[in-house]
Order: sequence, then structure tokens, then C-alpha cells
Amino acid sequence: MTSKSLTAERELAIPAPSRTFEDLDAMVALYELRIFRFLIASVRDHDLAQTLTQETFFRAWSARESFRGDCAPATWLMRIAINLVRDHTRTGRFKFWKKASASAVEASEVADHLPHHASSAESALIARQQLELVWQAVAQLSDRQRTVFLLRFVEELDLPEIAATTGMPISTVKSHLYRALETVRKRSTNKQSPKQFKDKHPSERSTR
Amino acid sequence: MNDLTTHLTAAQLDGILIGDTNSAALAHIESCPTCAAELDTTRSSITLFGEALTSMAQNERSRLAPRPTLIDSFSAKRPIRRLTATLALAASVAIVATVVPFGHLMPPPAVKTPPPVPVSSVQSDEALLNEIDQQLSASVPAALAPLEDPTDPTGGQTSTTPSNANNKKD
Repeated sequence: MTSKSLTAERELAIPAPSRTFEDLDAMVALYELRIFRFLIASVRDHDLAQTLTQETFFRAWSARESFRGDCAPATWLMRIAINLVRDHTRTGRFKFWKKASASAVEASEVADHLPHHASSAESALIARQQLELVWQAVAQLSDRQRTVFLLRFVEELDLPEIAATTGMPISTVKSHLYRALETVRKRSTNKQSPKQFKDKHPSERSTR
Repeated sequence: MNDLTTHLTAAQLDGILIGDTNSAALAHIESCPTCAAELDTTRSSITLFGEALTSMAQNERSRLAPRPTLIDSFSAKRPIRRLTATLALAASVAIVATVVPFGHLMPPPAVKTPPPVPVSSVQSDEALLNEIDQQLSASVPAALAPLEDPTDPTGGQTSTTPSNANNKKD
């Protein structure tokens, strides 16, 4: 058997990228939690996050022929989810219903899901307060800042992955991340007591 | 940078969190407990955020996902309950069948055709119409004759005056 025919056999054995999404159940089992987590943190609405998660997988399956395998399936799915969030949050209807939605996610609801690492009740209370402040701070970010913040610190993607997912240059991703972190740090520490302010790191005091 | 009297700026600390690494900043963090503590504070807040989100998403997914194992165990281990449930379902269907009218299931009513009109009634109607026509085309009755010609100076007064006079006398 020649080396040319061996290569051809190997190529046949590797499934085509467009077939990656043929088994939709397997893709859902692998990536649903990640996509749903990103969506619920982005839109902050249970029902809408659920709908957009289903829509993400439906679109991926519908456009499976166009998946060339030049990125990971997770990256491709996340890109679809980001586009869906952008399309939905742009509309005035979304902004209107967000204010009146009964399924909106509140900071206290997220805090109820805190893992119990705290050794004392006081530590648990402080952790809860910290989380609520971060949740509110993330809500104040711009759409792009929130997206890169979530991808970096919740989905734990590195900078090149975030750039590939969002389609932004790495320098832009970094810029958004720096601004997002600055906002989160400022807003989550502004409500601390004067005593805590005195104990702060010198560089942080100088930034205010 | 390893001078402990000079601490890292907020941007340098953020750079470490972002992954925009700077070897000098990393070296300083290892030797400066103040900066390390500051970095840990921000990092722990963000980590809490991620953990809580993950936990919430997992709970939500498990709540929405179907639970075939529970259904299987219910049907396999509890035959009496299954029989009870079947009987309850049959009873409820019977009650609904009794209470709810089935008008919508019946065939639509036939279009009512008007009953044939008897010939005698047609003839009597025609006779009545002819009589009305004759009355309309007839000459003015005698009692209303003075009104027919308003130019007659005596018309109308002769017939009404005596009666008025009689009324006044009474």
C-alpha cells in the first residue's frame, strides 16, 4: 500500500467538520451548560436564556454544513450565542420587557447559589455581599465589556480564544477587559466602610 | 519592581488577572504580601461570581431536564399506584364526558327550507291586496268632500259650526 493511499484512508477516517453537529444530542450534552451559563449572565432572564440556548443549538444544527472546523465547536457555539444576545439586547422591546420581566435574575438569587466555602456565618455574609456587588457592577458594563468579562472570568477563555470568539483583535479585547475590571473593582468597593477604605492597597486609593 | 515600598498599580494588578502577564509584576506579587492580598481580594470576588453562576446554571438545567429514571421507578415498583392512577384517569374522563356537552361533535343541523305555502292563502292574499287598491283609488268619502276643494268658501264650516254651537249651548 502506498503512502498516498494511506493518507487518503486517514482522511476518510476523520469525520468531516460539517458532521460535528450531526449528533445534536451529544453537542447539547457537552456544551449546553456552558452556553446557558453565558446567556443567563448576559441577558439576566431565565426564560430568555432558555430560549436563546435552544436557538443557539438550533442555528448551529441548521448551519452545520458551514462549519469548517477552523475553530473549536465550543467557540462556534459561543459565537452564535453572542450574536443572538446582541440581536436581542439591541431591540427596544427587550429593554422594555427587561424592566417588567417576572423571570429576571436578581442579585440575591445568584447569591443563593454561592458554594459554602465560608467557615463562619460572617464570612458567608461578606461573600454574599461581594457577589451581589459584582453582579450589579457587571450589569453596568457595556455589552462588549460584559461579554469579554464573562468569557474571561466565567468561561475562563484566554485572550486569543476570546478574540476568536468575538471576532475582535486581541488589543481590543484587552482594552475592554481592563475597563471592565476597573468598573467592577470600583463599584464593588465603593460601598465599603471608611475603615475598609483606610486599609486599602495604596495603588487603589491613588486611582480614586 | 521588587522594591516593596513601591506597590503595583491597579492596572498592573488587573493585567495579572486578565492574563496580560508582565514578568516584573509577577515577581513583585510573589514578594509583596500587600499586593498579593489586594490581588486575592479582587480575584476571590470574581471567582465567587463565576462559581455562583455555574451553580445556578446547573440547578436550572437539572430542574428543566426530564427525569426518566423517576418515571421508570414509579411505574415499575408501584403497580398498585399505577392501577389507581389509571382508574382515576378513567373516572375523570367519564365525568368530563358527562358534564361537557358534545354539541360540537354532532353533525351540523340541516338548512331549514320554508314550508310550502297553500294555494288558498295565496288567493286570499291577492284578494286582500285588490280590495286595498280599490279603496285607495275610490273617490273621496262624503264626510271628507269639503276638504277636497279648499277654494269652496262654505266648505268645512257648515258641517263643523252647528256642532260647535251645540257644544257651547251645553
